[in-house]
Amino acid sequence: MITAGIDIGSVTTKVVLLEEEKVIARVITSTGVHPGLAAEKVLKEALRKVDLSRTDIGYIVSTGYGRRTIEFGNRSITEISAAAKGASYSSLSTKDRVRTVIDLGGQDSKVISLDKETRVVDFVMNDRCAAGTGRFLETMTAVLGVNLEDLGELSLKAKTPTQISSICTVFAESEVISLIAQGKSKEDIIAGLHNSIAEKICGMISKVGAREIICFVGGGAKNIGVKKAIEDILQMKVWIPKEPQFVIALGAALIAKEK
Amino acid sequence: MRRPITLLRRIAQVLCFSFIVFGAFFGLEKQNLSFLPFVEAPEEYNEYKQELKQEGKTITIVGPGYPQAFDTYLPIKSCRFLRQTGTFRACFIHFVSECIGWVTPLRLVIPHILLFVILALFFGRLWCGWVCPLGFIQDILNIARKSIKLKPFFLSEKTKRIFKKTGYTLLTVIMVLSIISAVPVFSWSLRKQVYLSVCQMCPSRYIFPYLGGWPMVHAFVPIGYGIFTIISVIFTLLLLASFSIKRTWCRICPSGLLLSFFNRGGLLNKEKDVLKCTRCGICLNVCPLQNENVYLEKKKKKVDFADCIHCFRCIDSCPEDDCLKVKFLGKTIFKSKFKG
Amino acid sequence: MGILRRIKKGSEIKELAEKGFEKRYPRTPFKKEDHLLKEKIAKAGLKNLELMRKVSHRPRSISYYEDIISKEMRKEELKGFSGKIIGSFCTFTPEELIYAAGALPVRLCAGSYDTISIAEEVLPRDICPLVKSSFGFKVAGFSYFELCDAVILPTPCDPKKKLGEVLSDYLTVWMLKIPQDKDLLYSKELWFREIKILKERLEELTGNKITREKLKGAVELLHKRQAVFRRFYEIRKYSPALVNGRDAQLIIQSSFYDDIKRWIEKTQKLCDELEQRKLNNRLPTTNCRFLLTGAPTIWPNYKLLNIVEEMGTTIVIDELCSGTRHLYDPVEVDEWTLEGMLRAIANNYLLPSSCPCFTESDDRMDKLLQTAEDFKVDGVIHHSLRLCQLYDMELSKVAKVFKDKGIPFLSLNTDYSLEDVEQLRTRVEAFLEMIRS
Repeated sequence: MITAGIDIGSVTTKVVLLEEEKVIARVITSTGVHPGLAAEKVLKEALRKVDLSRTDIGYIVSTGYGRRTIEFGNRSITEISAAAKGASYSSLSTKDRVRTVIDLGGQDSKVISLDKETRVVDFVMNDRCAAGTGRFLETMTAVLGVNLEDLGELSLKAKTPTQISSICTVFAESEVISLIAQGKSKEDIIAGLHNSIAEKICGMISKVGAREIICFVGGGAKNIGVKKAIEDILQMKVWIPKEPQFVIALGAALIAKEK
Repeated sequence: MRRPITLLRRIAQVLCFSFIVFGAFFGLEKQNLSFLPFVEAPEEYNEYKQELKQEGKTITIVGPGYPQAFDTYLPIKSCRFLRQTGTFRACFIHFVSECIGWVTPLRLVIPHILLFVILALFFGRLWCGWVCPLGFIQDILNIARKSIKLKPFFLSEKTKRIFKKTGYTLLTVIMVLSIISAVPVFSWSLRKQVYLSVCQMCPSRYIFPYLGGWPMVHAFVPIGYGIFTIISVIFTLLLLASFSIKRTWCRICPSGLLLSFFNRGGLLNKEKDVLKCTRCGICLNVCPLQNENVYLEKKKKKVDFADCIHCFRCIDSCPEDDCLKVKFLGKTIFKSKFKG
Repeated sequence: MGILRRIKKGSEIKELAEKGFEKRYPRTPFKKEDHLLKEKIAKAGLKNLELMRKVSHRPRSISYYEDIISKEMRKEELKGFSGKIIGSFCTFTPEELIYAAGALPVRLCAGSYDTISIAEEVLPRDICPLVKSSFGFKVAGFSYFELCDAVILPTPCDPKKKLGEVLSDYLTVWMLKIPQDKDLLYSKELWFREIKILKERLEELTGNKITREKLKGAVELLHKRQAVFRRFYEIRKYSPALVNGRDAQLIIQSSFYDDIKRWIEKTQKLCDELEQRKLNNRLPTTNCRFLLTGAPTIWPNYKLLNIVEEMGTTIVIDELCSGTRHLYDPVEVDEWTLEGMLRAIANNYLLPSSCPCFTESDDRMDKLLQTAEDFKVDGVIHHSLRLCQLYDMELSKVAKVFKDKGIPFLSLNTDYSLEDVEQLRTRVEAFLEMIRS
């Protein structure tokens, strides 16, 4: 049986096609102004890749910020349950179960705490403030003149990470500009920004409690600089699964399979 | 009905009052009434004789005789001053005091002590709240005040402590004086004066004769030292002060104090479900002894305390269902209920 | 000892009653008319009603309460009332005294988002939205606030405490100083003194002496209301739920200013109807039972209630000062003298209060645990208003208490604005998924 999980985020929309526990397709696109259309587009693309049609899909579950904007889904669930499902499935190869999930998305971030049976027991969300989300880093790339994908590599080359004192994204941007004018290296500034974002995330983690294994998912997980910064603050290891940006969509597809 | 337990208690109080004070009218003669009918005094103790050497002379003292010491004694003020119409001969403190004074052999006294212990363990100070005629008189005074809409007088913590200390002192003094009246070392005149100091100091001395006890003239004979008369007048005034201060005498009554030792470990307990309690303070407001334990307790289940006369007004007035319960032998008898 | 003796003396009460705010630096009261405001508020109310009416199987008697809370009829009745009208805040105001003095009480706690912006022209931005919303009505110059001859303002928290001085420029304000804790020696006596001072002030304003008979009548009247409410409370325990959370809040909040005898009568009929439903088996289904605790949700700020109940769940019980706490505790009088009744009234409004304004909160934890058990709730939702420190400071303790008991717990932080509806919805949905797994 083939199931589909669609994660309609505020910045990107992702779909995962699942056939009996095996992922057969993954597609990502930017959400744009019409989340419903983006979802349709991404599903069509995925079906084309594996040469199937809509009728071949048994069950579709949508999740994410725009989960209610589509009519062709069978069910919608929150990205919290989806992230929990996706993260624990991805960790089946590891010895212990995932107990904490960090999701760093485009415009929100969340931390989810799981029990021994990988059920959600607590969660804390930040969806009201851009600081601590992908937007924070995206804003800075324009000022620094670098690409979002290179941020991780660049931060590892830092010698002394600069301290960024502003909490607000807009004021932090001004601070970065003045730091560049002072002659601080880009690598140091980027490492400082990563520390900033990691502190925000660790503040959220402390509300639910950090328990190993800590799984880092979402678009922000592709940035190894942020991972390192979180590990430095928590003094615990953080594990990033394969294709972290698709974990939530995978979770939705798994829940679709259970139906 | 707003206060069902209190209604039940009033009925019990009226019945017990009539039975204890006016028992003769119901055909109850005290000599025939005994809680322990199978306990009889041995023949040789019918009359008590003691020979004393004092100032070179030999005096023979004839005592009341043990059969009379075997009559029934309730743990409350079933007073000897009710001799003409009352059902019982005397109260338990009187019995203890007399036995110490006459140095009664222990094996004859033990059945009564056992009886007292059983009654106290079973009911604790329920006797004070539901049976005692002096308690009833104090409650009548309180009701009189309520009906003319005068406000009550609340005691401060310091005064409550003073009362408690007075009570323990009184009990100790009675016991010590009873021992003195038995020890031959002291002079006979001293021993005669302090004999039955409990009755000399008790306020019943001025109250019960009016209700048909001894002829009035005996009540006012200053037996013993004048000091006892003064003390008994003070105590009577205190008892009459229960017009404004609820149950003043019960705070210092020696019978009550003896019973209070059994209040906590006995078979009659008050229990509280601490989660249900909203700390509304109503139980504190209605308690005649102004006790705070029931209000403050939030850890243990049992809320018994030494002073409690088991009037159960707290349970009657508590507005939360099943918060306060009265348990006897583990079975719930009364529980609090919200009354619309 | 000396202090207590002086507190108990009666002559001091009269002096204190006459003393108000010093007013050495008076300010002209700021008023601003906004013609669109009335419509905005009415619209917000109507929107709420629409959402609530979508639910099927509501009791028929609920239409009376909808009229009271959304229409102007009660205001017209109060305008025609010949006696004084006394405004109040919080659950600390002793309404018995107001009725005994021949006046009518009106609780002024407000839930309207639209009056906040005019309030912010006088009050600072970073304070409790409830205080701003209520004050905004005074600035705008309409609604129940305009009908009041005096306002009783207890001081449970900082914004209310300081609001007194600001409001005193507009009308007579009587502060009720709430003690910081509930110890039996000083706090009880201080609060009793406040009640006696309030009695003097009421007598002075209305010109009616509060006699023993009048106070007895008032105590008995409020007793009836409390008894009806308890009956309603017991009905809410039934499973499946006979009445949903929004309707229950509507019923309780309409008693803030409704005619008391009429409210009692209507609520009796409502309880009869609800009990009849029990027998008829015509019951609406619900898939989750919740306990709602925390900061008050006052009409028309039913945003959170709408979000939670739109998912098919029911808030079967609440521990809110705008809900159950307003009417739950009875006044039990032992001595029917004037002083005895005043003492019983004072005790009732201070001692059982589970407001977080006191230094200790263990009694509130007991109450929450017992309520969760009695109503067999599936989860607890804690509502905290942004910038209200009192509930937030107790939040971690409440969370721990429920987590230790194994009862699912969700904490939501919001204010009166409607911008975060989606975020709240996601959290509530995730909470539901969490409970169901």
